[in-house]
Amino acid sequence: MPTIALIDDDPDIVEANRLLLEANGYYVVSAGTVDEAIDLVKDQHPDLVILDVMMQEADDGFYLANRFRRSGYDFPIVMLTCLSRSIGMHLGESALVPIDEFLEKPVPPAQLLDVIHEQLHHTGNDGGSARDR
Amino acid sequence: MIELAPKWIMYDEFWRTLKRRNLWIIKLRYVAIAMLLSLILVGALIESLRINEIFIAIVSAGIILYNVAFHLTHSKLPDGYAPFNGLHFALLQMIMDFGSLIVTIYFTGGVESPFFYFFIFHVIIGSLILPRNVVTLLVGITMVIITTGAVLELRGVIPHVGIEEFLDSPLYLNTTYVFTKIAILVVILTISNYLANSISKELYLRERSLTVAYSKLEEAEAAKSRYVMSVVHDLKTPIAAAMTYLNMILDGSLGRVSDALERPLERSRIRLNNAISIVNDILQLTQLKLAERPEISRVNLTELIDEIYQEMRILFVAKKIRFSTWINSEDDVYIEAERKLLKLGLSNLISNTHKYTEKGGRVEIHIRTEEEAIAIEIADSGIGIPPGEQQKIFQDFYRSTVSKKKGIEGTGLGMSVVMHIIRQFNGRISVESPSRLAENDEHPGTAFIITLPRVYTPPSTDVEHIEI
Repeated sequence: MPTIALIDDDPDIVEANRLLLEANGYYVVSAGTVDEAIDLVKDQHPDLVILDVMMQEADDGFYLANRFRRSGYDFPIVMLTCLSRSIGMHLGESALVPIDEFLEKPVPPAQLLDVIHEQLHHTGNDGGSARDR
Repeated sequence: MIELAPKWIMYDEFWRTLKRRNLWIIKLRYVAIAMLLSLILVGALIESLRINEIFIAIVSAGIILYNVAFHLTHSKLPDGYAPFNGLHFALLQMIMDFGSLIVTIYFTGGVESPFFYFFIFHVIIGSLILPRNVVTLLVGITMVIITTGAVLELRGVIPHVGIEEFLDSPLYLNTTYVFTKIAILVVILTISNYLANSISKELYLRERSLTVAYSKLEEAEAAKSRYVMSVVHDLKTPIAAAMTYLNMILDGSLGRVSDALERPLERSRIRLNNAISIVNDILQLTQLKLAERPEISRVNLTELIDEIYQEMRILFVAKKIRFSTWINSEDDVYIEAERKLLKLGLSNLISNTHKYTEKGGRVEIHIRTEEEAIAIEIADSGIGIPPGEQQKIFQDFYRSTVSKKKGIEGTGLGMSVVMHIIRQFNGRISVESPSRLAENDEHPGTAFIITLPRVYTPPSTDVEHIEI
């Protein structure tokens, strides 16, 4: 069962997405702050990370994405933000943002599942998802 | 370290300018060296002019040596204020130059020297960089040395080294001549110092006020963008959270939804979606208002309109709206504009025709090329705009009574975006309802006529007074 890390400071978004992902056969772990996220990734070795952009700081998401990549993690990172794509990207312009997909909240459940499926498929970690069975 | 910088020049740009000017002097000095060396050539060509070539070679070598040293150390100068800064460096350069010039003057005839007035350039260059009193002090010391040298030569204490046969009778022995010449030089140098320094101080002050004003503007822009982003984020986050739940409920991911609940839930989703598009529109408009100068290129208007239509084709087909484009030219029409902005503006207008035209209606785009402008008419056979409301539609958040009555969702910001874009390109927009496609009173239709200059001219904006 692939592990997905939900990193978002909004508990409702985490809970709703957790319901959706668990119902679709993923194991979900979550974190609400930068520090929690770093520990979570270290302990749980997720197969994919869904990352909010603006948390405590406006660019926490980009900071985390860069940090994960620098630390050598190669899981797909899906950026999920309330800002529009153009502005979201603009925020992260200063650093070359190492993310794999950019989604604008609210994202329709089917689209989120598709993106996750596709990203996991790229890395060959899609073995256990209920969507495949 | 001596404090050379007066308070009025303590800002970053000053130090950067100073660094550039220091380098400029170094480069100028190479030219001076070349000129000095060419004197040897002149001496060789003109028989009667006996120049001490060995001396000139020695002085040139000395100048080359310290200039190369300056050139090599220049890059290590700090970009800002430091205990040893660009001003000290400039002072050092001045001292070396005044020194070499004094030596040159002595060996080319003292007061008789043809280089006597070369001090003027040095003073002007020095005053452009150094504070007035520093240059005054430097001039003072130089004058004392020159006068002492002239007096010593006059009295025969030190030998007179002249350019032989340059002058028929030696002037260095003429007391009146010597002192008059030195006095005139002092007056010239003092005036040069005063003039150059006043002008350069004024320029520095103006540059500083501009720099300050500019950075204030930049800060304000950044603050506005941050504010907009945080507002958008704070507005969208709760909506997005609610939508995520709603989407799941409606998808049946959390169990079957009873028929009685489906419609209210679906309505909630539509209304929330509407709220999100309002926030997005505000964001778009704010971004446009905050935008910097547009990136202008030559845009193929024919192709652009076709591209917009292709993106919305399915929508028009679904509503059975007939869409056609007319151009009064056989070739593609080009216009100077920012493609992205122009597309956004035209997309808004074309999507409005779709929104406000009922099933089976018609949409026509007429492009008329004129000598200096291009007129684009976007006409539909839609619900129209009552005459009394035609000017109000360009206001932020205004929605026509007809569209509200018909229950058409919208934010009332679309036309503001269009207006803003048209203004960016120095164009005009007017509205006609009924349009050329009017069918009946129910469907009078609307036409927007945009006139854009073919060649981009920036919008005329009132220059606002900037408080510093």
